[in-house]
Amino acid sequence: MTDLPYPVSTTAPVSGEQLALALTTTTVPAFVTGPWEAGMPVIWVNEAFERLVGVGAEDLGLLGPHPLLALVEDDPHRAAAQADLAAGRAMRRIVSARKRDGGVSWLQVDVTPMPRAEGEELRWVGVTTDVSEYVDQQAAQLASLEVERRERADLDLIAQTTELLGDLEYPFALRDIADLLRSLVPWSGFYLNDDGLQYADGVDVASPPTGRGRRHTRYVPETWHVDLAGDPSGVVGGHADVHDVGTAPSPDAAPAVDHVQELLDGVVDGPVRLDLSGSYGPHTASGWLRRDLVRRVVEESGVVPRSVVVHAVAGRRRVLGLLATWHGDAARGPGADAGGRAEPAPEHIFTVVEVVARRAGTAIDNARLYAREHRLAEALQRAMLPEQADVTGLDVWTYYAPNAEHAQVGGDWYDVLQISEGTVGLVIGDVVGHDVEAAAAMGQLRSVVRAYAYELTTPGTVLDRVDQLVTGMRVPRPASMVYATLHHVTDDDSWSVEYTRAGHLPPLLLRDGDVRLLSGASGSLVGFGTAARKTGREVLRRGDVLLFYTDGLIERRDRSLKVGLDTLVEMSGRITARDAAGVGEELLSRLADSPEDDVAIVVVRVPDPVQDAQVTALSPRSRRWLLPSEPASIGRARHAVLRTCQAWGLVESAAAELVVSELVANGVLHGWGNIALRLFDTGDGLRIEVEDANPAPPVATDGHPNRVGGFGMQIVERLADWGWRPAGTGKLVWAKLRPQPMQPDEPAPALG
Amino acid sequence: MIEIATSSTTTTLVIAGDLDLAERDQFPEIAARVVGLRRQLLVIDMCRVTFMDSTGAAFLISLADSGRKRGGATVLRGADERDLFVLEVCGALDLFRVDHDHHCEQSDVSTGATPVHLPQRHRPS
Repeated sequence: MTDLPYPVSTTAPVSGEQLALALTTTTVPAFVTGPWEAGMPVIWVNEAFERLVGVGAEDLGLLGPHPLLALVEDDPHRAAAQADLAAGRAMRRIVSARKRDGGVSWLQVDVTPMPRAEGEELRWVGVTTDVSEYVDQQAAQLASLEVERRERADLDLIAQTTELLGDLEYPFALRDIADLLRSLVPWSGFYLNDDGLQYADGVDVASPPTGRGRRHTRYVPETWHVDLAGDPSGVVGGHADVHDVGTAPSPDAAPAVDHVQELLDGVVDGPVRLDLSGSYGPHTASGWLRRDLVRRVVEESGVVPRSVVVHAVAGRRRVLGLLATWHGDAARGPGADAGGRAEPAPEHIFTVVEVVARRAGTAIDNARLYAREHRLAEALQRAMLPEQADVTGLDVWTYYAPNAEHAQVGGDWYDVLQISEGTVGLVIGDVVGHDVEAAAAMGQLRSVVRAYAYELTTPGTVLDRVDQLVTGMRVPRPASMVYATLHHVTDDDSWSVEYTRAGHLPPLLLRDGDVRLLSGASGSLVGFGTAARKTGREVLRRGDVLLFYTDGLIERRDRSLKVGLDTLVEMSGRITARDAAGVGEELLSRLADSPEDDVAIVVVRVPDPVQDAQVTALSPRSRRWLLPSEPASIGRARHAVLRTCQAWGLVESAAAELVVSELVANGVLHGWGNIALRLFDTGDGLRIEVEDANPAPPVATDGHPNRVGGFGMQIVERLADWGWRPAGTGKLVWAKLRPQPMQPDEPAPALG
Repeated sequence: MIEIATSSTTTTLVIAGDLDLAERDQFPEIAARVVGLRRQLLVIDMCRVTFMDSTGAAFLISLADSGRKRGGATVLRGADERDLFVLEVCGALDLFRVDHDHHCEQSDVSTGATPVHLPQRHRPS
């Protein structure tokens, strides 16, 4: 047994009369109606209902069938609720009703069928509850949720545009951003002002950051002149900053003010609304933009736009272009009344478009400025890079590795010049330091040496004149160099060398396994000579190798220069390669393990046609070349491959030539800086590596018609396995030729 | 080096040397002149071409394509297997009538490399 804490009620149960009285006097409005088939006549209402509605049951009877419906506003759920009533099921719904004071109240109406005896007519009892407070609260919540959702969507859109702006090399970046904006407005598009406005799908980063141009003459056909009597002007969406451009046209009216040009000139900040029915001069910004916009919007949406909003796409110094958005106010022809005007666009759209326009402006400006700086640095550095002319009759290999983090040039340099038929000039030099100033001094010195080299041939004389000029030029850094000339004697097809040294390490002469330092003709650093320069001479034999280098090749912190030079001589004595590239490769593989300074090397070999064909060298089967980024390098790379294939006895030279040509052409076209070419004999096919300083990966296009050489990588793919990886600050593209079926009948590949 | 010769019906283009990116600067002018001659038949003589890559192929394709648009035909003469391979990879062999019967006068210097069998698509005869 449980003891209840209070006594169980013993009072008498509530009587029926009391219940009826309770229903009548309660503050909850209640009513009783007849059956659905009879039009649900209101039979009884309580006092609260009368107070709420203001009429009694008798007055409601005057309203005809379904009198309660007359009291509430129509709503979309009415049909479903009525189906419930017709079927005799209980029904609950929320309806709105006009209050007597003119306001709206929300009522929850519960209508329940009353139990009835057999043969009795169905009665419904209804109770209404005022839920206005809750409905309003919910509406406010929904509204704030909607605002939040929209803000999130706007932020998301801005984030997406930022991502797209990150890669302006993609040719449709602006078009994609405009497409994104079209989730907010029916049409949007970018225009850039590069010597006149033009529609822009993407940014030509190669074009300098202009924003210039006050005559907009790119041809756009006149498609549709919006001829409206209506006045389209008006403040856009309550946005106070929007200036109206143009007024309603009239035949006599003077051309409207060119507000778009003012926007481009930065006179106004914008955005401005451009009235597309205005009349403007044909080459004005507004006139051009009106023609182009009408044509595009009509083409894409089939609707004639009446006005657009134009935002400035501003860079650092000037406005680079425009972002035009059409908000969907179709021109409805003459006679359209004020009601035909489009709803003013919500404020947030302007904010988003403005933000996108600003970001685009900054990104375009940055991309173009960077591209310009990059081109400038590239051009200057390329102009200063060492050059190797193709010299006839000699096998020449050069190597240049500046030890600078951010530059491609240092203080070291070399020059190989074909001075005249049978005379080759050769310079190797080193300006102290490896910074930009050293590179600049190097550039000056190089020009001076070149100038005299072409004029005077005897090395001592050339250096005397260089000394004189450099003393007067105030070249800021001391420099050392070797200048040598090689002469071809036609009678016996032999070569001789003359050289002079200005404080530079002696060149090496490699002959039949012996190494000799050409240490004669020495003198002080360039510009410091007081005595006349001397000239050393050597007669060269077939198979001789001359080795010119800078101290970066041998200088290490942990050993003296003397020890380094001894090591070089010792290493050189062991070189077995019978081509200049092979000699260089052996040197680098043994010496330039961790260079601490710039390295420049020139290897000159006098070919020995008889011996070279008979002896197969045991030198490492890898080669490397550093090629300037210019089209002529492509041919040189092919020759290098042919020569190497011949030296290694590889038969796939035709395919190798094709692959290397495509890879180097890509490097020249899309790469940055010098191109490093490496070849390896894997024993299972030739491996070709091409490295440049552009980190962007190669793209195998499907042969885009506008991209010359778009098939290049497809050719590579057919002949080789290929791939790429980041290397240093740039990338390395490799290709390994697939082994060709061996053809025993075929002769050895000929020299190209 | 590229030479243009013309008769009443035929334009003949004699190409010598390498046909690669290094030669690209002269392509537009030559293409304009060939198109300007408006001959129905264009013969491209490649006997003395030492090398052609995709850039060179793109040039030949542009010539053949503009010829075809006017209802003309382009004959390729003296192209070696490798040149045809390049055109095939570019998907452009159909643009050319390849003259297989032609024998170059100086066939020994026609290419820089020994003929090597490159993978070839079966060509419809």
